[in-house]
Amino acid sequence: MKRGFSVREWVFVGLFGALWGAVEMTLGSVLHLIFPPIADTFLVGLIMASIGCLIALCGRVFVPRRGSILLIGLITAVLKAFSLGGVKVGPIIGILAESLLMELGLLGSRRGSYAAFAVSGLLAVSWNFFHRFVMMGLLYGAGFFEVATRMVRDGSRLLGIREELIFLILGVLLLIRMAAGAAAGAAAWGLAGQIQKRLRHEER
Amino acid sequence: MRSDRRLVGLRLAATIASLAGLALLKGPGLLVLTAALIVLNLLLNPEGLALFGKLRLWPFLLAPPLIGAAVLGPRDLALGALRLSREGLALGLVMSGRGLCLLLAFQVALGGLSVTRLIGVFHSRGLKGLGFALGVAYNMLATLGEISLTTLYTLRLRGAFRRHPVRAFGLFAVTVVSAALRHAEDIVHAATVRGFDAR
Repeated sequence: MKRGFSVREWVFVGLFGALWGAVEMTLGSVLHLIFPPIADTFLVGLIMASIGCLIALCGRVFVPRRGSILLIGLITAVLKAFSLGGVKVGPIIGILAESLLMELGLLGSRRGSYAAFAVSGLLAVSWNFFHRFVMMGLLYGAGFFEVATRMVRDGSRLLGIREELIFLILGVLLLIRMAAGAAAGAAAWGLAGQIQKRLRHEER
Repeated sequence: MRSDRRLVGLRLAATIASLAGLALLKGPGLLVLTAALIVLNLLLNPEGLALFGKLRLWPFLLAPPLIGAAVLGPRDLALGALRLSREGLALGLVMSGRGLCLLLAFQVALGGLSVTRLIGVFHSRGLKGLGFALGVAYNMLATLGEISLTTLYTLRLRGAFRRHPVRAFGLFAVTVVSAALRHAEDIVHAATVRGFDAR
């Protein structure tokens, strides 16, 4: 049983945290400018969560220790908190929740496999669906759910559709996120394999 | 350094206290908490109050009372031609107050801190490895930018993005990560020869 992380493992945790942080600070900010959070609750979160999964899970292949993804997420969250534009609570909670879910998805398999990575990615990107509700609940309290339920009822009456259809639409949106997450997880396993092959090739 | 640590402790205690207050307080109590958090921000982190000058804050604060007044409860408040609900307006104001308290609490916790200070705090709390990793990440951002730009230009000049866009993105990712890993190996060697041990 190895005690603590080695210097190499800490450096790799820092590296993958920096990679995810850089994507959040650059692409994340640009996408939020193009699609403001009030107008878009789907696309930006899905893209950012999938890329985050790809990077963090790739990091797990190079630091095959329990807790490594959580540490990568923690470093990403700190970098995001200190990035230009000030403290944004939403993305920080999102990054931490996604890394925790990825870690949970890999509890059963330390070394990982295509399937384990896909499950891990699926769990992490699914968070994106609940994120908005959790954030609104946290920020506005129980009153938010009262307003949201009333808006769903009024909206369905106004549009002349059954209330259940709204839940069907929400279900489809969750399924799309799950599929994207599973694809990102499987892609991370493939990408890590390609990187290892290239590094081995360069060593020869 | 010691005063730095004490200040971080104070910020953390204030944030935990405000989160507890947020969970326990209701109605007018939230107004008192909001006022207290504004005063705390003024004392510990005056720049944090620039938050109120940001345009994106106002839709977030104004939407709950407006939506609440329009959709919840009986319409018993007449404002010109508008018929609004007092109950909905009150609920919306409480919701906005809660959101504002949470934002201000986070400002107290993180405002005025910097990555370098946080690394120092991690080291002093015995989290040497985490502080080291954060330092590596922070200092690596510029290198990652350079590596990404060089790779991007190389692939673009070879027409990769036009001919095989999907494959080009895969190649881009593999090249950037493997170059960054090679750079990381240099950092590992440098830390090891200096006798650094994070365990």
